[in-house]
Amino acid sequence: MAVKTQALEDWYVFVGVSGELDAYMAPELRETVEKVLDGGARWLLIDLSEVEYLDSVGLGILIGAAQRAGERRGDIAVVCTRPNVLRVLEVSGTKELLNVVGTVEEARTRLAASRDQAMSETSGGEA
Amino acid sequence: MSNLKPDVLRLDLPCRDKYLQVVRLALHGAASRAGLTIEDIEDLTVAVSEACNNVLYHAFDEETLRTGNPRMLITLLISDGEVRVEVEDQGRGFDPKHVLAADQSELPATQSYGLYLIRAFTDEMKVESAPGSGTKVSFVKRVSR
Repeated sequence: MAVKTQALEDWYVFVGVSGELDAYMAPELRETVEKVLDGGARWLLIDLSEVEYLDSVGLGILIGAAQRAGERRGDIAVVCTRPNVLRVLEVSGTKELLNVVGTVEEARTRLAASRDQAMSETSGGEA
Repeated sequence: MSNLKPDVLRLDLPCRDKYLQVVRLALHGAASRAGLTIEDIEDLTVAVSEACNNVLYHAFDEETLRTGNPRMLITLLISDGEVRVEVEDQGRGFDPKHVLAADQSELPATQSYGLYLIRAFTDEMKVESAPGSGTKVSFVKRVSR
């Protein structure tokens, strides 16, 4: 498994994951996501389109990321295209919580909408 | 399903997460011999990984994992059109009534996705366990017609 991160447009962080996201490989993603969030990021675009396998351990990391981002009035969006991975997200009922969409552009649009909403709800605060 | 006895494959592995992929690969090969579709096999792969995750995370205490030699035993029973999987450990066990009752909810708590996913992705599931007596999780996947 490989995890890459890139800060984009000064407001969100792209996290690209490839390989099998199971209990053995998931700690690498957990560490990366925690580092990004500890660094102050509020908006995460997590691209799972190259992930071949996802289980409940990987799912737990995604849910944790969504909760931590939400605590600081941020959000995540997840890109997923592989049917077997999508099925885990669907069956677990987490598609909505994780903002699962089919393309990076859709995910960026989803995050931007969430950011606009956060900004409108914050009087004078930085979103 | 045929009346012939199933072919039995056993994997006796150290209780280590690095062997999860080995289990999935073995299952994939074996399940394809039973005539399951790719989608069936993918479902079963999630189920077996979740059963092994339960062993990795819940069956043994930290001390045993670090200094002992805990094992997870995976048995695949391959028939024509059906695969039965049994995942066993000799760990601390639990009262399955509590876990299964909690796991009936439509949306499980984050920590209980394992059994929820096994149930969702297979045709039958059974949990046998008791405190101090280890655990056996069994499930069946039949070919989609």
